Amino acid sequence: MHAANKGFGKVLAVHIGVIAGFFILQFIVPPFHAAMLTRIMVLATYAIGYNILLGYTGLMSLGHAMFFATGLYAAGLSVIYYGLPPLEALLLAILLSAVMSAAMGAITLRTSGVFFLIVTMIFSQVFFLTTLYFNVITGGEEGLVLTRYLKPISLGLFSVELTDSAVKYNFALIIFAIAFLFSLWLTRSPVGRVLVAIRENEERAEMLGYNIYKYKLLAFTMSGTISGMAGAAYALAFAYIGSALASILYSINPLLWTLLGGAGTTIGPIIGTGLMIYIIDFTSGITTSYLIVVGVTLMLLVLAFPPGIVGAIRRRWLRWLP
Amino acid sequence: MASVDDVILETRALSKRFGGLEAVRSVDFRLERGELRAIIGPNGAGKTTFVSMISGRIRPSSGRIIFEGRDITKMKAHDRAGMGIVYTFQIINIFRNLSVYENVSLAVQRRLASGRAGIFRVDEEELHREVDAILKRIGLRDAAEQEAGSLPYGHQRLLDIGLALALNPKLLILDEPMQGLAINEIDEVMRMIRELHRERTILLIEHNMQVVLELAKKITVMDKGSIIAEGTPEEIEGNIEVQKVYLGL
Repeated sequence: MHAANKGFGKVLAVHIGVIAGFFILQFIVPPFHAAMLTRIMVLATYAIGYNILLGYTGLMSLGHAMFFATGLYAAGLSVIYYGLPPLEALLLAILLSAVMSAAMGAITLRTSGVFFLIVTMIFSQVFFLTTLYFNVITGGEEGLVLTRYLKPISLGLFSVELTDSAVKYNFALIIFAIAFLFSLWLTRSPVGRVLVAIRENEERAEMLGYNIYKYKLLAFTMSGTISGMAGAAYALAFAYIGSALASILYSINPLLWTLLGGAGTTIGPIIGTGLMIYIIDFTSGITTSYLIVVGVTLMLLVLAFPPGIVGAIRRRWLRWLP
Repeated sequence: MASVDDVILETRALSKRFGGLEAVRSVDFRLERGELRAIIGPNGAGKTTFVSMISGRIRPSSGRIIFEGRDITKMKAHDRAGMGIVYTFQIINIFRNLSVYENVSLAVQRRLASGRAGIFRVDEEELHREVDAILKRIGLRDAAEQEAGSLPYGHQRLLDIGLALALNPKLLILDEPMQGLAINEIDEVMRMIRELHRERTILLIEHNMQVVLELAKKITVMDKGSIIAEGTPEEIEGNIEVQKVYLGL
């Protein structure tokens, strides 16, 4: 990795550039697109979390909605029922997501392959049904709106309201930047290298003396925690919590976004999320059977770029991309 | 040379059954520190199963394994690697999609990372120095940035052994390292094994008798899961039972 070290300036510049790009876009694009970008940044954070497990460790989960929703409900319910200010609610949500994902990882990582896929999905479905069962508290499918309960975020001398769309945008940007830079750090850290080793050849990694289970659990926990952070940001930025966000669709979504953009690339999940959300928005404006169009588009994209969009770019041109 | 009673590894009544098949039958085995021991025997003699139990890849059905005076029978494979028992696979087993440099650095990193903090931070300077030294030693310095899977077969084998070497093992188990190599490659790997032996104990499974006779001072012969003979190359060559097993006399 000595050659990569020489190129780190370039890598860092690209990543800072992405964050700066999002920052500048808010002054350029019309309000509608600013709102779209806010949504994309929050959901891209979720995809970044998912990618740590799928792209960098080689584990495919179908149960991440459980962690996204843990963050979502932890933040939303603590705001509604305990009157927690947004940042405190966010921290509580991150903490609970970490505990939840560590516990789930400890159980599900005893399986592998297809069984892992199914076991994560089953636990996630249990979580989803639980949110429906306690609909008196959670609001069930209809959900609950946080707007009335959201306190301003106090920043020392002045305070800002999360209902303000500019505040929303920059709140989402900060959350996104944290996750994005974390994933960059991880790929270059000793832990990240071992995770890639596990993805590439688990047996050999074990015979080199690495405790595979511990590393996978660590990856699972990091992945679940970031997903939970994204869920909390969703609740706070869009002032809404509901069971649909805990459904299996929200386990499949980050998988699609990550695969489309490029699993195992830092930038891929962002491209994938952005593209999918815009494709859905565009096609649903044209036809009610937009999911057919989305499906066909996805198939064509995956056929054209098997390793995902950024994965293909890296393979062909920019081999130094992390 | 090691003193006579300095036993690094010992197995007591070590057995492994796969269903009805008894692959290894109650093997008592002793290996002295500093030895270069070869294990030979026909296909299906239980050699790989035997060393796999020592490295921790396979759990024994019964019996005990003692390494440096410690009972390691129940210890996990990765912990054994951490203790200094390192195994190289019969079939070349490297990270094919990673560069040669990344391959070696994964092994070096494991050795440098001691304690908890090690998994998050490692001295990159030291890592680079050590990786470079290993690459030099296995002669793959010029191929550092190449994808490991694209190397010629013999170089992949050298890299595989290099990964083991980077862990600085006390006991190195080489499972048929010459398999599939060309004659000139065999010479290169033999030279390397000799060099490695200067600092550590080696357990070598090998089919190529010429290699075994040239490298090992002591040979253990297995057949049908049991040890049938043990001795110097000369003793083994003259052993009637060994000739029966090998030549069907």
